[in-house]
Amino acid sequence: MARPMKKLVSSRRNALLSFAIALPLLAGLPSVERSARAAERVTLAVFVAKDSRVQNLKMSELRRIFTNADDSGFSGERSIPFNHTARSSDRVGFDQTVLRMNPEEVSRFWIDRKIRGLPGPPRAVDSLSQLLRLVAHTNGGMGYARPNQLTNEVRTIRIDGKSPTEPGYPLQFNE
Amino acid sequence: MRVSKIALCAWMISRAGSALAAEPPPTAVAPAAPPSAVAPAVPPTAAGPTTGFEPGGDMGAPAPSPATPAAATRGPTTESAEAEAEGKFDAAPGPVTDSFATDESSGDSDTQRKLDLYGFADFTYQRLLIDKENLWNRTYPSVNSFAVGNFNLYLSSNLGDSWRALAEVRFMYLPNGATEPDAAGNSVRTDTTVLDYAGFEEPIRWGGIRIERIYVEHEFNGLLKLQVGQFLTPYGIWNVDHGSPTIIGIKKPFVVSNQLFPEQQVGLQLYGSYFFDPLEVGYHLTLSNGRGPVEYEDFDNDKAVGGRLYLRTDAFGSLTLGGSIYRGGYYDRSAKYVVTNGGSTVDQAYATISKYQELSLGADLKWEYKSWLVQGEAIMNEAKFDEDGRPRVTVLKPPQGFQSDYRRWGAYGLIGYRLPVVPLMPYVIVQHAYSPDSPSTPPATAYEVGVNYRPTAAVVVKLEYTDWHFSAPGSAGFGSYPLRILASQVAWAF
Repeated sequence: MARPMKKLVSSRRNALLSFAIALPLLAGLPSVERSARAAERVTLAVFVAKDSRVQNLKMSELRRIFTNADDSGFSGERSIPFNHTARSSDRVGFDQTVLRMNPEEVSRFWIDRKIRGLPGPPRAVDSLSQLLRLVAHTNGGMGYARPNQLTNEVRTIRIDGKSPTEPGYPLQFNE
Repeated sequence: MRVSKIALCAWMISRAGSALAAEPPPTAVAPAAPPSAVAPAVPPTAAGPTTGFEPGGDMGAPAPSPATPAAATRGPTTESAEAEAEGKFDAAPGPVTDSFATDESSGDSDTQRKLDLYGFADFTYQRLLIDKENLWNRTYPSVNSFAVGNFNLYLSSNLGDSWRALAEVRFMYLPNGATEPDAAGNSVRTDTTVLDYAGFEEPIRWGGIRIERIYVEHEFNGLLKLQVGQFLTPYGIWNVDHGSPTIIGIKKPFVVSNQLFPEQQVGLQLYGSYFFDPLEVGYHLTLSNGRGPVEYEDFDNDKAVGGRLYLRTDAFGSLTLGGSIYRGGYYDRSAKYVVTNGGSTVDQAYATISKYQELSLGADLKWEYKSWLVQGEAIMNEAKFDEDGRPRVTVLKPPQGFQSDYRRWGAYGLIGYRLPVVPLMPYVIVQHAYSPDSPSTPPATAYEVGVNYRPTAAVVVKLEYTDWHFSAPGSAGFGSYPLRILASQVAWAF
């Protein structure tokens, strides 16, 4: 009688132990999933209003537009860039890919530029729907987003002659 | 009777309050606009982003939601994908940088009319590493003292239709404490102490405000932008970088602080650039009152002209090469009221104090390659005085005389390297200055080493050691004494 009782207690202890081990693992699943997703390759499409004349930009030209440098001469119209907020992952990826700067360097860049008396950074928009509407309805408006986020109101442009679906498209980064 | 009136008022107020509370706000009861009447947040004009981005304002008309017809016409986007996308917008993968990156005003989203206020300030402590008997202990400014040096406030606004305004003012403790020699050779200190009527007449000292620049600008296109007002002279690197968080060292190189080019000018500036990938060619042209004793009055109607041409490329790092020129006249005069026409008219008679023509030339280079920074400037300025326009040279010991024509020049070079892990930039500066216009300033060469630590983008901590060498004693003998300065500074942008 004592032996089965002991066995029962032992099996319960094992079950509790297994549960105790499994619980943190289960709790950790989202982070495991996150780290798996972290390796995802993200593509950003640069988009303009449907009636914009801009069809293609070089990366160097895109850099000039998003650093508010003069862009007349290559885009055919005065571009008005719109950014994502500084904290968003796409903004960080865009800055690293296009401006070749990390968030700290970006911040330094704009501080230095404003102290020199030059115009500040592009307007940051904190919602995708607003960004899409702004670009669609602003003359010369330009933004960036993931290709599956775009609406029919805007049009993707080529970067260095490549569309976002083509291999070798330069505006990609690891999330 | 009075009590009953108060009670009546209270009852009416409470009724009105409850009625207001019961009534939903007008926006909430307004019927939803039909899909066709839903105005876009931004009208399809250049005036687009204005209203939507007023500080604290709403985005205007409601955004087209997935339920609206606008959403119905969307392509491959699904509602779940959109929700995920909106989520990505709010994601915060890393630390937020600062207000300069987050509160972003559009540089050229034409009709922004918000006022952008920002600026910088610095706090410095310096001491001289020299003997107590050394002359510099008594002549070098702000020795062994804590000092707030710059407190500059910027006011910037987009005025719409490619118009932009910028003003920068510096708040100063000066003129309090400023010294000037009098005719007897005494160093007289300015004291601005007054009694504060707003308190108990306790003594307070007032300071000054200096207008660094103020202008309005219109952009015709990238090749043609016009500024009118007071602007920083577009020459070299340091004069435009100018703010203590932006510049690497603590003090301006002597060749910059000695103003071989005027630091600011009042007039017109035309500038622009064109991008021939991978080369940007830019220019500045200026027309101004030129250097003079009064910013807003040109005594001789002799306008100064200047310009700058630069080439910039990002092909190998960021390389900028520039050349600058300035030509103008200086005229200072004294005035005296005189009675003319047999006593019927009061006129002014002028006497020339100083009058000369000057020419300044400058060349500059700035190269940022990976973590390296190399920059340098070489500047020359020459002045030719009118024969009746030579001022007396103010010297403390004879021989006295008149100012001769002069050619002064100087140069500096800076090399810095920003470390990869810590945001620290050790740097070296070598500078030389030759200033024959000031007999007490001997030709001098300085070697500086320092570190520029930027713990956040908006805060810079600097430590700098400077060793000056003089090749002549100069008329006041300063050059006979060594000068070694250890300076530290905290500069911040806000």
